[in-house]
Amino acid sequence: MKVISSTNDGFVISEKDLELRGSGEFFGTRQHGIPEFKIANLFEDVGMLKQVQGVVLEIIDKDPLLEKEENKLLKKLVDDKFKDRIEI
Amino acid sequence: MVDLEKNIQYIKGVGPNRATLLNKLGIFSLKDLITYFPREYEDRGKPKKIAEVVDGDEALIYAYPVGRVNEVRIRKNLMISKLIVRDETGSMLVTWYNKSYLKNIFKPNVEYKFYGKISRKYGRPEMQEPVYEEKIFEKNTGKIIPIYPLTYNLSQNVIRKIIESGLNEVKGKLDETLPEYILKKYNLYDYNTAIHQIHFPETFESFSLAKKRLVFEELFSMQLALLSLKNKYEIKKQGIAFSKEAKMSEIIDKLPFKLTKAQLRVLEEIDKDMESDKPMNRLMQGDVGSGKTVVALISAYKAVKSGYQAVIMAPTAILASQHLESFNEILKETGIRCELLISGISKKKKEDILKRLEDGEIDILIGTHAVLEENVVFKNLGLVVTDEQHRFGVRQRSIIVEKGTNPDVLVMTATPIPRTLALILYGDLDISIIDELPPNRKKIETYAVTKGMEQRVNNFITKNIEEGRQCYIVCPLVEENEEINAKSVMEIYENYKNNVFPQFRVEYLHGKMRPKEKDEIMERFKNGEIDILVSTTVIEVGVNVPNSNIMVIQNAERFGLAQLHQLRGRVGRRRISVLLYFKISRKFTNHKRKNESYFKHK
Repeated sequence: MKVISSTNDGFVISEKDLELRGSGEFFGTRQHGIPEFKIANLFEDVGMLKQVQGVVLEIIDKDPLLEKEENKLLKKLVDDKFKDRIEI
Repeated sequence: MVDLEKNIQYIKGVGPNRATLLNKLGIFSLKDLITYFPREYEDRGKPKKIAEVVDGDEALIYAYPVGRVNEVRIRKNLMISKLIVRDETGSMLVTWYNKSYLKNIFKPNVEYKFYGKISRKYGRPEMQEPVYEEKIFEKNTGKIIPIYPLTYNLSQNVIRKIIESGLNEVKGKLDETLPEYILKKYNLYDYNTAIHQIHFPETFESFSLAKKRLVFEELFSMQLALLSLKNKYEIKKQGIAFSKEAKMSEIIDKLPFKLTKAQLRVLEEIDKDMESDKPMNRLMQGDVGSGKTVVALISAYKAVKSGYQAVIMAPTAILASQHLESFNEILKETGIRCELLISGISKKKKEDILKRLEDGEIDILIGTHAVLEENVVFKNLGLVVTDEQHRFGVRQRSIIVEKGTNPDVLVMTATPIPRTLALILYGDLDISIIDELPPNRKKIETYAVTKGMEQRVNNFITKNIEEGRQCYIVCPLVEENEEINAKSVMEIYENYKNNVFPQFRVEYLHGKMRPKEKDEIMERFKNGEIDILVSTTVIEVGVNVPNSNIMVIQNAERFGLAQLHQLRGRVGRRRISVLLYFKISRKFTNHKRKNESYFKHK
C-alpha cells in the first residue's frame, strides 16, 4: 500500500489520480471549477485533446475573432460556453 | 425548430413525479435529457445456446418456457419465482425475486428472449433476474442497450423510454453545432446522427463514431472558448510595465532562507511578465509547501517598489492572517506597509483601512472575499494575487481586477495538474510550475491501515499527544451534502470525546459551521489548545499548524490520490516528520479496488 507513501511529488500523484478516477472526478466542479465533461475523459482522450488543440490553434490563427462566415457556428459555440460560466 | 429548453416535465412519459427524479440527475430540459449519455452498453445482440453458456457470462438466450412459473416463498419478504426454459440444446433455470406479476405472464409454446447473468449450479445453467420479452419484439433485448448512470427510484427501462421519447421529439431537427468543413476534414458524424447513435447505437462501430464526434465537440468547444478568451485579453489590453529598477533580488537577498531553483525560475518568468506592458495572466502551480507565498511576496515587492499597490486574496481568514504574519516578518525593514482586511474586523478599523488604502498609505492589502466589496478602492492597484484558485472563480477575479487599470494577475494553486493537461486546460493563462520542494522538508510517512488496526492507531495517537503533539482526524466526504458530512463528523467526534480519548481535548470542524466559529476553532488548534481535531476536508485549504504531526484519514479510499496528497500536506509543514493513516474499510467498489491495487503495487 505504498503509492502515496512512495512519492511526495504531487505531479506524479495527479497523473495517477487522473488515470484512476477519470477527468470527471478529477476536475469535478467541487474540487476545481473546470466544467465537468459529459463524455470526454481527459485521460483516455488525451490524444484527441492534442489533435483538437492543433485544430483550434489553426482556426484562431486564421480568424482570431471568429468573424468569418464559415466560423459563424464556432462563434456561437464559444458564446454558449461562456454562458455556462467557465470558472478558471 | 425544436425547443431544447423545454421543461423535462412535458416530455412524453415524464410528468411531475419523474421530473423531480430526473432533476436530481441534473436533467431539467430536453437538451439535458438528450445529452445525458449512457455510462456503458450491453451487447444483447447475439444469442447463445443454453449448452454453450459459461458461468459468469451475460448471455442472450432464445428459449421456450417449460411448464409454469413456480413461486417459492423463502420468508415473509422474499419470494422467488422459478421458471424452467429450454432450447434445442438443453434447459436452464430462470429466477426472479419478489416479482409476483410474473406468475401468469409466460405462454407455453411461445419463444422468449432472456438476457441476464449466468451461473452454473450442479451442472445446470441458471439465469438470475433476466430481462425478457417475446422473441418477436425488439425492445429490451436483441440489440445494443444503453446503461445510464442512475440514482434510486429510476429504472433503466424507464429512463431508456424517456430518452427515447426525447429523441423522437428532436429526430433530425437538431441544429448542427460544428461547421461543415470541420466535419468533413475530421470525418465526424453530424450532430443528429451522433446524438441518436450514442444512445441507441446500431453497431459498435456507429457507437464509436458517435462518441468520437461528441468527444471532439466537447474538447473542441472548451479549447476554442479558452483560447479566444486569451486572445481577447492579449489583443485589447494595455497593461502596466513595472519598473526594471525595482529589483526582486533586493528582497531575495534579505530572505532568511534560500529559494529553490524552481522558485527562482518562476520568479524570472513573473519578472519578465511584470516588466512587459501586456497584463500578466499567470497561473503558478506548486505543491503544498513548495513556497508559492514567498514568490507572491517577492512579486508584490516589485509592484510596490514600482509605485503600485498589490492585493493578495486568500480563501480563508486564517490563511490571510498567516500570510500577513509572514509578509510583515520578511518586509519589516523595507518600510512596505501591509494590512489585513477580513470580514471579522471592527467597523472602525475597517473604515480606517479603506481610507488609507484609497490614499495610497497601504502598499499590500491581504484579505479574503472582503476585498471584493464595492467600497474597497485602491489608489493604484498594480498586482492581483489570488490564492488557491479553485475558490475564486473568473467572476471574482474580474471584480478585483477591475479595481485597477489592467493590473497584472497571478493565480496560485496547490492542485497539481499534470503538465500536459495544465497547458491545455488553462488556455487563457500562462503557466509557471514550482516542481521542487525546499530541501529541509521531511518526507511525509504514510501508512495504509485497515479498520481492524484501529486500536494500534489510537495507541499511537495517545503516545504522540502525550508528547505534546496534535492530531487531525479527517472524515470522508460522504456526498456533496454538508449536512450529512457534518453529521458524520459529529458522530466520530462524540465517540472520540466520550469513549476513545476522554482524557484529551477534542474538537470538531465542518462546513456547516459559521466562518467565525471555524476560524475560532482553527485558531485554538493553532495555539495548541486542542489536541485532536475532527474535521471534514475544510482543512484542505492550507493552514499551517506545525505542531500537528498525525493525520488520520478515515475511509481514505473515498478520496482521490491528489486530494489525499493535498490533505497530508496539512500536517507537519515544518520540522516534524509525519505519520499518516488511512483507514480503509473492506468494501470496495470496482474503481476503488483499482485504486487500492495501485496503493499496493506501487
